[in-house]
Amino acid sequence: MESQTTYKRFRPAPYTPKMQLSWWWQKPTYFAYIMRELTAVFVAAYAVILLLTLRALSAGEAAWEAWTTTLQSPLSIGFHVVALLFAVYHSITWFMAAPTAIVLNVKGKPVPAKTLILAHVVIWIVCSAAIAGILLTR
Amino acid sequence: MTRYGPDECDVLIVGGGGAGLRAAIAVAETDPTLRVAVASKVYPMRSHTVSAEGGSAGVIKSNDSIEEHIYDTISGGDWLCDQDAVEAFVNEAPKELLRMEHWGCPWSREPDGQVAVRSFGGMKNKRTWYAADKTGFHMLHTLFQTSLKYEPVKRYDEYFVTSLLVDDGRCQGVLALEMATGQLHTIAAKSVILCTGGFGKAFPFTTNANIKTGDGVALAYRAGVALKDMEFVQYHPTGLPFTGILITEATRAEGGFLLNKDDYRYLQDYNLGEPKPEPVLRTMELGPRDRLSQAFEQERLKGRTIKGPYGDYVHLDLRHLGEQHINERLPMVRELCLKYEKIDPVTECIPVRPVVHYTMGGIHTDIMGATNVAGVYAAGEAACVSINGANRLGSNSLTELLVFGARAGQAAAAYAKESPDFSPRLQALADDAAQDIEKTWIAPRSKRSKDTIAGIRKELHNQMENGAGIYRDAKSLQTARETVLELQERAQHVALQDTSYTFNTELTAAIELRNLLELSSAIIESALQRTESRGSHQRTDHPKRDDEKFMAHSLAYRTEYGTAPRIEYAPVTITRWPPKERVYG
Amino acid sequence: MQKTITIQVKRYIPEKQPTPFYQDYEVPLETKWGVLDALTYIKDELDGTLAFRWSCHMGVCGSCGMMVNGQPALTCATFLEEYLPGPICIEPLDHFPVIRDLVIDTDAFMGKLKYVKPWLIPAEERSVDDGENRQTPAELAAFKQYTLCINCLLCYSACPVVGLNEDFLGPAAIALAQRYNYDSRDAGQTQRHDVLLDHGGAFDCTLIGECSRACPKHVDPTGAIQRYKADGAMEFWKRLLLPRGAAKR
Repeated sequence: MESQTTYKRFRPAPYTPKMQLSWWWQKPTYFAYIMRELTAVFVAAYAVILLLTLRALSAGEAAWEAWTTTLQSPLSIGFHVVALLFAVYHSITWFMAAPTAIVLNVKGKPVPAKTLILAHVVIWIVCSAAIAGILLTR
Repeated sequence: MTRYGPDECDVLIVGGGGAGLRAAIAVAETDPTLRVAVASKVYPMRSHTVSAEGGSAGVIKSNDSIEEHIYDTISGGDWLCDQDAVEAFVNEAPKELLRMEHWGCPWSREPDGQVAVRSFGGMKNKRTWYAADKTGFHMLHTLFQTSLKYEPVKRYDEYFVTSLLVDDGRCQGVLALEMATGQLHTIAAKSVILCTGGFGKAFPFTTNANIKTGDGVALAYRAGVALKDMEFVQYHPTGLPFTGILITEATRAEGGFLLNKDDYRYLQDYNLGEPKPEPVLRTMELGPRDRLSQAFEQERLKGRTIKGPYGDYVHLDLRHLGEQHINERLPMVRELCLKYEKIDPVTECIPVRPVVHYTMGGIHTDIMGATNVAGVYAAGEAACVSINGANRLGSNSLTELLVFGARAGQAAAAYAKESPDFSPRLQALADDAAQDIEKTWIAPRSKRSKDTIAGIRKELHNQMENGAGIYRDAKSLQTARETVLELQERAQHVALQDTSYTFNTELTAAIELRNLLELSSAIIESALQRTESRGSHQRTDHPKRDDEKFMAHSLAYRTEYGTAPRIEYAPVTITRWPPKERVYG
Repeated sequence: MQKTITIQVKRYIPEKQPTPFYQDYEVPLETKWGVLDALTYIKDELDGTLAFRWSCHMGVCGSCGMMVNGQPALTCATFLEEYLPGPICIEPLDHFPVIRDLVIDTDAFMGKLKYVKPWLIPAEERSVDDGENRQTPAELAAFKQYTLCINCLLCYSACPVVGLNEDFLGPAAIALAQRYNYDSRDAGQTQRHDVLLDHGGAFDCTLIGECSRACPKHVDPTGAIQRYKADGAMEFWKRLLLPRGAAKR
């Protein structure tokens, strides 16, 4: 798809190629970007599930039982697996991007990007472990 | 005051490189009410100033002196420099470089935050300011970005100026081809400053960019301005074979060695001093460019250079400098070698050979950049003031474009303010010039010649390299002279394949070729008549310097197209530094 | 041994044909030849009508950016041997209006460049007699990377946001604003906030990162923009919460 004007002498008629709808499909890096954007949908969906869980909790034991049964359905488990993968992907791309925004100098020397990424991952694992600890040890 | 039209200005600058932008800023600062414009065949940041690497000279350190910089420049130029011009240049150099600092130029620094300086060929002290090894790039971008803040500066980007319009000895403006549309525009201007750079593209093997075809110099020449010292063409001793990419002199200032095929520092055989492990100023690898290039040629004749597919070469050895030093001081050199030669200077020697780098000659101007046509000024490599004489010292040219760009800007502004209204004949002049372009290049022709632009250019290149290269003699120059005149004639009949008006680069290439042919003819004629050897002009049939006859600037005046120019001589201004023998080592 | 290689060029000559077309040329496969050398060979020996820009042939003037097999590249620094056995497809840079053949219209970019005030705005004007500003190597290093942009526009071709949103200032222009923002001699950040926080400014960037991958000079515009987002967010809240005068400071 291209847009342009008709040529007249001394009036150039540049054409402007328009981006195709499938542009994100044309480069692996573009695809990876669109997938990262897509993670937002799953994160949002999971937030909705959390809200529904809270509602079920407040609506009494019968509602809660029904809700947890629904959550245990194969469809629901399948969704959770996919959502988890997207969440992990989101976290990883986020950590990889972190060094672009953070410029840290320690003793006059810039901290290498790898160190920054590693620091983020370590904090992530520690936080996850802590949350898991709170939830699983009762 | 009557307005000529929409494209009217007080000062028009042709060329948007370092000198042109500096001049534009100077005009805007001299009088903000003046209308100033910059017309260039390329966007300003594409100009060839961008390729300069090593640095820009100016005395700033307490262990250095103005006097020494003057002496180095004059002796480096083999006493052909005008000494009043050199004095003005050296005096104003530090101020101009400081202005660049105030405009944000990212100069390399000492640990305490002062501007750092490095050694350079032919200079007795460290006085070359640098921004790693991308000094020209940083200076050009600083000047361009700074110029954007001056509202009066209007730009005509990608306008190819084809003629100067001169009425009764006074400049009235230019005719310019708008490349995107193919339309010819008259730009009326009270004064015009030509800052279009040199004409290294007359030679086949050059560090010069594709755009360096001497268009502004040819414009002036056709308008009746004399061209000064055209025979002096600088070969830089270290260019990459094939591409001709410049490997900066800073490599040698940082301690690089030049080695022949036996890994021998051959410069010691050519009166350039004793080899020492550390670089010593004004000796060996830090000798002046002309002497180093000549030493290569001698070495080649002795069969001691290395044979390669793109001509003979020698080795530039940086390995002992170490990776960290190379990365810090010479990052671009490493980048260029990795990219274009697929070698890493940290572990391997760089193949280098002399390459045409700079044209000392150019438009004959006075110390303010004025020419003999009222309202026409010039600055930068296009001009010959002359501070470079028979051989320019490395790192003087970047400073030159600041100092004389500013001077020409101020002088042209003052002239424009005083000058009367435009001539009533302006439109007629422009129409004539436009008709010439139409007739010569655009109109369909019945007689189709077999010649092509590339074919004629190749023949020109051969003649210039063989006839007017590092070493010349009467016979080689005579042959070149006859052939180039014949090529001028043939070039008029080249049939263009491209008949489009939109961005017709074949048309501009044809005009560039004609410019190069005219300038080559001036180079050859000036070289033929200077029967002595001085600086970069080495005649094997006249190997001695002859101060009695040739302590003079040659001035080439254009005669009819297709005939050789008339050569006259003007005295060199000598003030406090009487001519001596040129000694290095 | 392969002796030649096919160069496929996307051409456009408005007077001749209202739509672009592709044309194939066979050029010698020389070692050391860049894609640009192949184009100059075509221009000199095969077809004088081919139009393209080039100048320095050493990767610093920024004229010769084109799409080479769909990727933005400096043609003088991209070599035929990298694309064996060919063909090599050469098109004008993406996301720009095309004037003729491989020549794009960059006027909009030139406007954006000026818009970010890419010049030093000192806290107070100094005269030459005041001497140099001191700047330590560490202070220089804080912005040096962002000075290395050659305006070749490869990043604009690589960036889908530029293609979708013509008001976006784009990677090079924002990186250049940051070059001055991080210069220890500069005090113009407040003025540049007005531009960078506005519509088309840094927050239009969606962090695809392709500009940094395309940059031949390792300027890392992505980083420059991300760092601005952090600074810009602070400024945004300051302007929202503090009274006008205080926020300006």
